[in-house]
Amino acid sequence: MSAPALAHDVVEGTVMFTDIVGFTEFTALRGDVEALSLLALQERIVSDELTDDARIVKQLGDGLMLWFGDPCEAIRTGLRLQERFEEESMNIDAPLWVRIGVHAGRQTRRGSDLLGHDVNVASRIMSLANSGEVLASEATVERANGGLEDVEFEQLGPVVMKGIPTPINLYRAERREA
Amino acid sequence: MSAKTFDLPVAVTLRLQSRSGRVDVIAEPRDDVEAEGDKIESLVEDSGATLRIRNGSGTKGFTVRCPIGSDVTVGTQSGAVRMAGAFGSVSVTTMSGSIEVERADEADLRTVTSTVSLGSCAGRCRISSTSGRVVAGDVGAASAGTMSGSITIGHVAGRFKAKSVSGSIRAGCGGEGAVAIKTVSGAVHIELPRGIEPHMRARSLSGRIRCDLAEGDDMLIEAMSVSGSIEVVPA
Repeated sequence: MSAPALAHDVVEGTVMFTDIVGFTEFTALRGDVEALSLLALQERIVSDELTDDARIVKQLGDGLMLWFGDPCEAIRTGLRLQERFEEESMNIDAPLWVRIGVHAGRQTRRGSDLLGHDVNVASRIMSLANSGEVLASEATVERANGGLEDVEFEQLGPVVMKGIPTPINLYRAERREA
Repeated sequence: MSAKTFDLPVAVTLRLQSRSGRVDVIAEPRDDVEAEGDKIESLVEDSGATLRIRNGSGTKGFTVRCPIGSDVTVGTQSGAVRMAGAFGSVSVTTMSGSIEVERADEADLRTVTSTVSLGSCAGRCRISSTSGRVVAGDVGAASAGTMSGSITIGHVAGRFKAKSVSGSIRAGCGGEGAVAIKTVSGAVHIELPRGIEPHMRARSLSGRIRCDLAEGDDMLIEAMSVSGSIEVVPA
Protein backbone atom coordinates (compact mmCIF):
# COMPACT_ATOMS: atom_id res chain seq x y z
CA MET A 1 0.00 0.00 0.00
CA SER A 2 1.45 3.37 -0.87
CA ALA A 3 0.64 6.58 0.96
CA PRO A 4 -1.80 8.97 -0.64
CA ALA A 5 -0.22 11.87 -2.44
CA LEU A 6 -1.31 15.13 -0.80
CA ALA A 7 -0.09 17.30 -3.64
CA HIS A 8 2.11 16.78 -6.66
CA ASP A 9 5.22 16.22 -4.62
CA VAL A 10 4.17 15.81 -0.99
CA VAL A 11 3.69 12.46 0.71
CA GLU A 12 2.67 11.50 4.19
CA GLY A 13 4.69 8.83 5.88
CA THR A 14 7.34 7.99 8.43
CA VAL A 15 11.03 8.64 7.95
CA MET A 16 13.70 6.61 9.71
CA PHE A 17 17.38 7.41 9.92
CA THR A 18 19.96 4.81 10.89
CA ASP A 19 23.58 5.45 11.74
CA ILE A 20 26.40 3.04 12.57
CA VAL A 21 28.17 4.25 15.70
CA GLY A 22 31.95 4.06 15.52
CA PHE A 23 32.12 3.44 11.81
CA THR A 24 34.80 6.07 11.15
CA GLU A 25 37.06 4.69 13.87
CA PHE A 26 36.46 1.13 12.72
CA THR A 27 37.41 2.10 9.16
CA ALA A 28 40.59 3.77 10.38
CA LEU A 29 41.55 0.69 12.40
CA ARG A 30 40.49 -2.10 10.07
CA GLY A 31 40.55 -0.58 6.62
CA ASP A 32 38.08 0.06 3.84
CA VAL A 33 37.39 -3.55 2.92
CA GLU A 34 36.11 -4.52 6.38
CA ALA A 35 34.23 -1.24 6.60
CA LEU A 36 32.48 -1.91 3.33
CA SER A 37 31.58 -5.39 4.53
CA LEU A 38 29.98 -3.86 7.59
CA LEU A 39 27.95 -1.47 5.44
CA ALA A 40 26.88 -4.31 3.20
CA LEU A 41 25.78 -6.31 6.23
CA GLN A 42 23.69 -3.41 7.50
CA GLU A 43 22.07 -2.99 4.11
CA ARG A 44 21.37 -6.70 3.76
CA ILE A 45 19.67 -6.84 7.14
CA VAL A 46 17.63 -3.73 6.41
CA SER A 47 16.58 -5.05 3.02
CA ASP A 48 15.55 -8.36 4.63
CA GLU A 49 13.35 -6.61 7.16
CA LEU A 50 11.65 -4.03 4.96
CA THR A 51 8.05 -4.67 4.06
CA ASP A 52 6.53 -3.86 0.67
CA ASP A 53 5.26 -0.60 2.09
CA ALA A 54 8.76 0.71 2.83
CA ARG A 55 11.86 1.64 0.91
CA ILE A 56 15.46 2.73 1.34
CA VAL A 57 15.46 6.37 0.24
CA LYS A 58 19.21 6.75 0.20
CA GLN A 59 22.53 5.86 1.76
CA LEU A 60 24.18 8.50 3.90
CA GLY A 61 27.78 7.42 4.47
CA ASP A 62 27.40 4.80 7.19
CA GLY A 63 23.70 5.41 7.62
CA LEU A 64 20.48 4.95 5.76
CA MET A 65 17.35 6.99 5.25
CA LEU A 66 14.22 4.85 5.07
CA TRP A 67 10.58 5.65 4.39
CA PHE A 68 7.49 3.81 5.60
CA GLY A 69 3.86 4.32 4.72
CA ASP A 70 2.74 3.01 8.10
CA PRO A 71 4.14 4.43 11.37
CA CYS A 72 3.44 1.15 13.20
CA GLU A 73 5.50 -0.71 10.65
CA ALA A 74 8.30 1.83 11.00
CA ILE A 75 8.50 1.26 14.76
CA ARG A 76 8.20 -2.52 14.45
CA THR A 77 10.89 -2.57 11.79
CA GLY A 78 13.17 -0.36 13.89
CA LEU A 79 12.93 -2.77 16.79
CA ARG A 80 13.38 -5.81 14.56
CA LEU A 81 16.45 -4.20 13.02
CA GLN A 82 18.00 -3.60 16.41
CA GLU A 83 17.39 -7.23 17.34
CA ARG A 84 18.96 -8.42 14.10
CA PHE A 85 21.93 -6.05 14.50
CA GLU A 86 22.46 -7.35 18.03
CA GLU A 87 22.31 -10.98 16.85
CA GLU A 88 24.77 -10.35 14.03
CA SER A 89 27.10 -8.45 16.35
CA MET A 90 27.56 -11.64 18.35
CA ASN A 91 29.07 -13.34 15.32
CA ILE A 92 31.32 -10.66 13.90
CA ASP A 93 34.29 -8.69 15.16
CA ALA A 94 32.90 -5.38 14.03
CA PRO A 95 30.69 -2.76 15.62
CA LEU A 96 27.30 -3.16 14.04
CA TRP A 97 26.01 -0.70 16.62
CA VAL A 98 23.22 1.27 15.11
CA ARG A 99 21.12 4.12 16.41
CA ILE A 100 17.72 4.80 14.95
CA GLY A 101 15.44 7.85 14.88
CA VAL A 102 11.86 7.87 13.58
CA HIS A 103 9.44 10.69 12.81
CA ALA A 104 6.09 10.68 11.07
CA GLY A 105 4.93 13.65 9.03
CA ARG A 106 4.96 15.05 5.54
CA GLN A 107 7.84 14.80 3.16
CA THR A 108 8.43 16.51 -0.14
CA ARG A 109 9.60 14.43 -3.06
CA ARG A 110 12.60 15.46 -5.08
CA GLY A 111 13.13 12.73 -7.60
CA SER A 112 13.55 9.60 -5.50
CA ASP A 113 14.76 11.66 -2.55
CA LEU A 114 12.63 13.11 0.24
CA LEU A 115 13.23 16.35 2.04
CA GLY A 116 11.56 18.88 4.27
CA HIS A 117 11.08 19.81 7.91
CA ASP A 118 9.83 16.40 9.01
CA VAL A 119 12.84 14.75 7.42
CA ASN A 120 15.12 17.10 9.35
CA VAL A 121 13.31 16.27 12.59
CA ALA A 122 13.84 12.56 12.02
CA SER A 123 17.55 13.17 11.51
CA ARG A 124 17.81 15.20 14.73
CA ILE A 125 16.01 12.48 16.66
CA MET A 126 18.48 9.90 15.42
CA SER A 127 21.35 12.05 16.69
CA LEU A 128 20.00 11.71 20.23
CA ALA A 129 19.65 7.94 20.14
CA ASN A 130 22.16 5.57 21.64
CA SER A 131 23.32 2.60 19.68
CA GLY A 132 20.74 -0.12 20.05
CA GLU A 133 17.93 2.35 20.62
CA VAL A 134 14.89 3.35 18.62
CA LEU A 135 13.72 6.86 19.42
CA ALA A 136 10.46 8.19 18.03
CA SER A 137 8.66 11.50 18.06
CA GLU A 138 5.28 12.01 19.68
CA ALA A 139 3.83 12.50 16.19
CA THR A 140 4.91 8.96 15.34
CA VAL A 141 3.49 7.49 18.53
CA GLU A 142 0.20 9.33 18.05
CA ARG A 143 -0.15 8.21 14.45
CA ALA A 144 0.56 4.66 15.50
CA ASN A 145 -2.55 5.23 17.63
CA GLY A 146 -2.33 2.22 19.87
CA GLY A 147 -1.59 -0.15 17.02
CA LEU A 148 1.53 -1.46 18.69
CA GLU A 149 0.44 -3.67 21.54
CA ASP A 150 3.80 -5.39 21.68
CA VAL A 151 5.71 -2.12 22.05
CA GLU A 152 6.27 0.06 25.10
CA PHE A 153 7.05 3.74 24.78
CA GLU A 154 9.04 5.43 27.50
CA GLN A 155 8.60 9.17 27.39
CA LEU A 156 11.87 11.08 27.47
CA GLY A 157 10.24 14.49 27.52
CA PRO A 158 10.33 17.58 25.37
CA VAL A 159 13.53 18.14 23.45
CA VAL A 160 14.52 21.46 21.95
CA MET A 161 16.49 20.76 18.81
CA LYS A 162 18.75 23.01 16.82
CA GLY A 163 16.93 24.55 13.89
CA ILE A 164 13.57 23.09 14.94
CA PRO A 165 11.29 25.83 16.30
CA THR A 166 8.96 23.63 18.36
CA PRO A 167 10.12 21.24 21.10
CA ILE A 168 9.67 17.61 20.12
CA ASN A 169 8.35 15.12 22.63
CA LEU A 170 10.56 12.07 22.37
CA TYR A 171 9.83 8.47 23.19
CA ARG A 172 12.05 5.44 23.48
CA ALA A 173 10.49 2.38 21.90
CA GLU A 174 11.08 -1.02 23.44
CA ARG A 175 9.67 -4.45 22.86
CA ARG A 176 7.12 -5.18 25.58
CA GLU A 177 8.25 -8.10 27.69
CA ALA A 178 5.87 -11.03 27.59
CA MET B 1 13.04 37.82 34.83
CA SER B 2 9.73 36.69 36.24
CA ALA B 3 8.67 34.14 38.84
CA LYS B 4 5.59 31.97 39.21
CA THR B 5 4.48 29.69 41.99
CA PHE B 6 2.33 26.62 41.42
CA ASP B 7 0.42 25.01 44.24
CA LEU B 8 0.28 21.27 43.79
CA PRO B 9 -2.68 19.38 45.18
CA VAL B 10 -0.99 16.10 44.31
CA ALA B 11 2.46 15.07 43.19
CA VAL B 12 2.93 15.84 39.54
CA THR B 13 5.51 15.21 36.89
CA LEU B 14 7.30 18.38 35.88
CA ARG B 15 8.19 18.88 32.23
CA LEU B 16 10.57 21.77 31.80
CA GLN B 17 11.57 23.31 28.50
CA SER B 18 14.13 25.95 27.72
CA ARG B 19 15.80 26.62 24.41
CA SER B 20 19.00 28.10 25.75
CA GLY B 21 20.51 29.36 28.96
CA ARG B 22 21.30 27.49 32.13
CA VAL B 23 18.59 25.42 33.80
CA ASP B 24 18.72 24.86 37.55
CA VAL B 25 16.29 22.51 39.22
CA ILE B 26 16.41 22.30 42.99
CA ALA B 27 14.60 19.64 45.00
CA GLU B 28 14.02 20.91 48.51
CA PRO B 29 11.54 20.57 51.38
CA ARG B 30 8.45 22.34 50.01
CA ASP B 31 4.98 21.50 48.73
CA ASP B 32 4.75 23.83 45.76
CA VAL B 33 6.78 24.55 42.65
CA GLU B 34 8.42 27.87 41.99
CA ALA B 35 9.77 28.79 38.58
CA GLU B 36 11.88 31.80 37.80
CA GLY B 37 12.88 32.69 34.28
CA ASP B 38 12.08 34.75 31.24
CA LYS B 39 8.44 34.90 30.05
CA ILE B 40 7.43 31.71 31.79
CA GLU B 41 4.50 29.80 30.33
CA SER B 42 2.79 26.88 32.00
CA LEU B 43 0.24 24.25 31.16
CA VAL B 44 -1.39 21.49 33.18
CA GLU B 45 -1.69 18.26 31.18
CA ASP B 46 -2.76 14.65 31.59
CA SER B 47 -5.71 15.54 33.82
CA GLY B 48 -3.50 17.35 36.25
CA ALA B 49 -0.76 14.74 36.46
CA THR B 50 1.76 16.81 34.53
CA LEU B 51 2.80 20.42 34.87
CA ARG B 52 4.62 21.75 31.84
CA ILE B 53 6.68 24.89 32.36
CA ARG B 54 8.37 26.60 29.46
CA ASN B 55 11.01 29.25 29.74
CA GLY B 56 10.88 32.07 27.18
CA SER B 57 13.24 32.39 24.27
CA GLY B 58 15.79 34.49 26.14
CA THR B 59 19.12 33.19 27.27
CA LYS B 60 18.61 34.17 30.89
CA GLY B 61 18.71 31.41 33.44
CA PHE B 62 15.72 29.25 34.31
CA THR B 63 15.42 28.10 37.91
CA VAL B 64 12.78 25.73 39.22
CA ARG B 65 12.35 24.73 42.86
CA CYS B 66 10.26 21.65 43.53
CA PRO B 67 9.48 19.12 46.30
CA ILE B 68 12.00 16.43 47.12
CA GLY B 69 11.36 13.26 45.12
CA SER B 70 9.70 15.03 42.18
CA ASP B 71 9.69 13.35 38.79
CA VAL B 72 11.21 15.81 36.33
CA THR B 73 11.92 15.89 32.62
CA VAL B 74 14.03 18.67 31.16
CA GLY B 75 14.52 19.47 27.50
CA THR B 76 16.88 22.16 26.30
CA GLN B 77 18.95 22.82 23.24
CA SER B 78 22.09 24.45 24.52
CA GLY B 79 21.88 25.27 28.19
CA ALA B 80 23.63 23.43 30.96
CA VAL B 81 21.25 21.56 33.26
CA ARG B 82 22.00 21.30 36.97
CA MET B 83 19.73 19.34 39.28
CA ALA B 84 20.48 19.67 42.97
CA GLY B 85 18.88 17.52 45.64
CA ALA B 86 17.01 14.22 45.54
CA PHE B 87 14.63 13.52 42.67
CA GLY B 88 12.37 10.68 41.63
CA SER B 89 12.50 9.74 37.98
CA VAL B 90 14.61 12.17 35.96
CA SER B 91 14.92 12.56 32.21
CA VAL B 92 17.17 15.23 30.74
CA THR B 93 17.87 15.72 27.06
CA THR B 94 20.01 18.50 25.67
CA MET B 95 21.77 18.92 22.39
CA SER B 96 24.85 20.74 23.61
CA GLY B 97 24.59 21.55 27.30
CA SER B 98 26.19 19.63 30.11
CA ILE B 99 24.05 17.69 32.59
CA GLU B 100 24.66 17.35 36.31
CA VAL B 101 22.25 15.46 38.55
CA GLU B 102 22.91 15.00 42.24
CA ARG B 103 20.55 12.15 43.13
CA ALA B 104 17.67 10.34 41.45
CA ASP B 105 15.66 7.15 41.79
CA GLU B 106 15.88 6.56 38.03
CA ALA B 107 17.56 8.60 35.34
CA ASP B 108 17.76 8.98 31.58
CA LEU B 109 20.35 11.60 30.76
CA ARG B 110 21.48 12.35 27.22
CA THR B 111 23.46 15.09 25.57
CA VAL B 112 25.24 15.28 22.27
CA THR B 113 28.35 17.30 22.97
CA SER B 114 28.83 17.77 26.69
CA THR B 115 29.61 16.02 29.92
CA VAL B 116 27.03 14.10 31.94
CA SER B 117 27.50 13.71 35.66
CA LEU B 118 25.25 11.71 37.99
CA GLY B 119 25.96 11.60 41.70
CA SER B 120 23.86 8.60 42.66
CA CYS B 121 20.89 6.68 41.38
CA ALA B 122 19.08 4.06 43.40
CA GLY B 123 17.58 2.32 40.38
CA ARG B 124 18.39 2.10 36.71
CA CYS B 125 20.17 4.88 34.89
CA ARG B 126 20.71 5.37 31.21
CA ILE B 127 23.37 7.91 30.33
CA SER B 128 24.75 8.99 27.00
CA SER B 129 26.89 11.64 25.43
CA THR B 130 28.24 11.66 21.93
CA SER B 131 31.48 13.49 22.53
CA GLY B 132 31.41 14.33 26.21
CA ARG B 133 32.39 12.35 29.27
CA VAL B 134 30.00 10.29 31.36
CA VAL B 135 30.67 10.20 35.09
CA ALA B 136 28.50 8.55 37.73
CA GLY B 137 28.91 7.64 41.37
CA ASP B 138 26.86 4.92 43.01
CA VAL B 139 24.11 3.51 40.77
CA GLY B 140 21.74 0.55 40.86
CA ALA B 141 22.05 -0.54 37.25
CA ALA B 142 23.53 1.36 34.36
CA SER B 143 23.51 1.61 30.63
CA ALA B 144 26.00 4.13 29.29
CA GLY B 145 27.13 5.12 25.83
CA THR B 146 29.59 7.56 24.31
CA MET B 147 31.54 7.95 21.13
CA SER B 148 34.73 9.79 21.99
CA GLY B 149 34.07 10.52 25.63
CA SER B 150 35.06 8.29 28.51
CA ILE B 151 32.68 6.46 30.83
CA THR B 152 33.54 6.30 34.52
CA ILE B 153 31.18 4.79 37.05
CA GLY B 154 32.18 4.42 40.67
CA HIS B 155 29.93 1.55 41.60
CA VAL B 156 27.22 -0.35 39.75
CA ALA B 157 25.33 -2.70 42.01
CA GLY B 158 23.44 -4.57 39.28
CA ARG B 159 23.53 -4.95 35.55
CA PHE B 160 26.01 -2.78 33.64
CA LYS B 161 26.02 -2.18 29.91
CA ALA B 162 28.37 0.25 28.22
CA LYS B 163 29.42 1.09 24.70
CA SER B 164 32.04 3.54 23.55
CA VAL B 165 33.82 4.15 20.32
CA SER B 166 37.17 5.58 21.39
CA GLY B 167 36.52 6.55 24.99
CA SER B 168 37.71 4.44 27.89
CA ILE B 169 35.26 2.57 30.11
CA ARG B 170 35.99 2.21 33.84
CA ALA B 171 33.57 0.88 36.41
CA GLY B 172 33.43 -0.77 39.76
CA CYS B 173 30.79 -3.49 39.65
CA GLY B 174 29.10 -5.17 42.57
CA GLY B 175 29.00 -8.57 40.94
CA GLU B 176 25.24 -8.91 41.26
CA GLY B 177 24.41 -8.25 37.62
CA ALA B 178 25.80 -9.14 34.22
CA VAL B 179 28.31 -6.83 32.59
CA ALA B 180 28.27 -6.20 28.84
CA ILE B 181 30.90 -3.92 27.36
CA LYS B 182 31.61 -2.99 23.76
CA THR B 183 34.21 -0.60 22.48
CA VAL B 184 36.10 0.02 19.27
CA SER B 185 39.36 1.46 20.57
CA GLY B 186 38.71 2.49 24.14
CA ALA B 187 40.38 0.74 27.06
CA VAL B 188 38.08 -1.22 29.38
CA HIS B 189 38.78 -1.53 33.10
CA ILE B 190 36.30 -3.34 35.31
CA GLU B 191 36.76 -3.88 39.03
CA LEU B 192 34.91 -6.60 40.90
CA PRO B 193 34.76 -7.46 44.58
CA ARG B 194 37.42 -9.90 45.69
CA GLY B 195 36.12 -13.45 45.76
CA ILE B 196 33.81 -13.06 42.81
CA GLU B 197 34.50 -15.60 40.11
CA PRO B 198 33.12 -14.31 36.83
CA HIS B 199 32.37 -16.22 33.69
CA MET B 200 34.14 -14.10 31.11
CA ARG B 201 33.45 -14.02 27.42
CA ALA B 202 35.87 -11.50 25.98
CA ARG B 203 37.19 -11.00 22.50
CA SER B 204 39.33 -8.37 20.89
CA LEU B 205 40.89 -8.23 17.45
CA SER B 206 44.10 -6.58 18.59
CA GLY B 207 43.63 -5.46 22.17
CA ARG B 208 45.06 -7.17 25.24
CA ILE B 209 42.65 -9.17 27.41
CA ARG B 210 43.37 -9.74 31.08
CA CYS B 211 41.31 -11.14 33.93
CA ASP B 212 42.90 -11.33 37.37
CA LEU B 213 40.02 -13.19 38.96
CA ALA B 214 39.47 -16.91 39.01
CA GLU B 215 37.04 -18.12 36.38
CA GLY B 216 33.68 -19.24 37.68
CA ASP B 217 30.03 -18.65 37.14
CA ASP B 218 29.13 -16.07 39.76
CA MET B 219 28.30 -13.57 37.06
CA LEU B 220 28.68 -13.05 33.33
CA ILE B 221 31.04 -10.55 31.74
CA GLU B 222 30.76 -10.06 27.99
CA ALA B 223 33.32 -7.72 26.51
CA MET B 224 34.19 -7.01 22.92
CA SER B 225 36.67 -4.57 21.45
CA VAL B 226 38.35 -3.99 18.15
CA SER B 227 41.65 -2.62 19.44
CA GLY B 228 41.01 -1.52 23.00
CA SER B 229 42.41 -3.49 25.93
CA ILE B 230 40.05 -5.28 28.30
CA GLU B 231 40.96 -5.88 31.91
CA VAL B 232 38.99 -7.23 34.83
CA VAL B 233 40.64 -6.90 38.21
CA PRO B 234 39.75 -7.27 41.88
CA ALA B 235 38.77 -4.04 43.62
